[in-house]
Amino acid sequence: MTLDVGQLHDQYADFVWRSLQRLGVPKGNLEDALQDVFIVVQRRLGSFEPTAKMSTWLFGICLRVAAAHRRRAYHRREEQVSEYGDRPDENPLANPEQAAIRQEARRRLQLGLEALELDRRAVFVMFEIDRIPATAIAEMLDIPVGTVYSRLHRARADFNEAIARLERPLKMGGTQ
Amino acid sequence: MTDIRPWLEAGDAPAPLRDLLREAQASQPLDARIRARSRRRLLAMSALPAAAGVLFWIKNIALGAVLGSAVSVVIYAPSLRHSAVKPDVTARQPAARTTGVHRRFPVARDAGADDGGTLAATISSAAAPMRPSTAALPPAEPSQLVRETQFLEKARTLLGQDAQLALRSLDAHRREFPHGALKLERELMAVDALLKLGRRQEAQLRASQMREQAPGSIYEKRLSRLLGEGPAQEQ
Repeated sequence: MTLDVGQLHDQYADFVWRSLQRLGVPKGNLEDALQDVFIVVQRRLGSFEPTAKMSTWLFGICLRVAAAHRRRAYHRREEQVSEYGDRPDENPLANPEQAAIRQEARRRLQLGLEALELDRRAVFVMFEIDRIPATAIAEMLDIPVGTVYSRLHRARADFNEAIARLERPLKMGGTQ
Repeated sequence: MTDIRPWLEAGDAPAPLRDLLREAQASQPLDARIRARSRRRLLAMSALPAAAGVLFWIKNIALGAVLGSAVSVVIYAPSLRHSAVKPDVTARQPAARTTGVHRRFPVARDAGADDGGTLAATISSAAAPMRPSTAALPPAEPSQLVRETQFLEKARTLLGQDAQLALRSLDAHRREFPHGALKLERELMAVDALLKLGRRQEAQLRASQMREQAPGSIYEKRLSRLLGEGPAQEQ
């Protein structure tokens, strides 16, 4: 079977796009990250083991690309801030107070997700936010269902802890 | 274990987490316009592999060339010693350095100059063994690429730790390789470093110089993003 990068793009671009979102690549960097992934695909296609699952291989590349973006974003906090507020399905002028509360919730959500290791984050987002069943996640990532649950369990604990850390200063009367 | 349900469905998540998860937006599908643009770029890169993969391949190519040249020099060094006009000149040079091999050419030119005529130069050149010269020529450029790559790799590492040091390293690269093969990559990193240091005006100046030098380069979009100039337009 001859693999062609154009065909792979047609078939898997959406999967890569969603995976990069789940791995926390900021919206503004998604297109670059998508390109980065397929450049790596083009370069490494020869080393792809035909018996392996393509989505798993691609997800591995997404992980590395997302990790690189995360490292860069760590040094450019301003890029991430822009991610919290914009949501197309609401008009902040309709109820400014409510909009502010929701925006703050989204900011906390984002910070909580950023506290997760990337592979756990992906499983957490797929299961809790995208509502993909564990069996489908296992299939997609080519890992046992038990591993999905184990990652999910740890991700939940880490997420819970990260949010609790964010809550603490507020309860003590401080500000973020 | 298999009865685990998402927190929001099961309703057993701690209340603050439920509130946050309700605000979460599911991952969005790939927009057709972005998909088409991405595919177009990908195919363009396939057509120009050097443009697409140069940064990825450069280390391997350079490394291969340097190793190849080292092997060539080791193999041909004995014959150079026996047949060159001034064998001691080449013999003193380190085997892996291309500069040592290139010393052969001044030898021929010197001989010609001493005699004051082109005929002598031709004779001197002809006296020199041909095989070693062709084997030794190519490494000069890869050697520079290796050094350029090393410079930029170091700067890239520093960029994540200390932008000031990274900038110094990039400036050193600029001094040493003002027209280096990786000068655009260097300039992009320099803009990034300057922004990290809060020296926005300098970053903008350097970016505009970069754009003048290479309008429409593959770094254009990354440059715009670094400078916060808004999303790149449809290309």
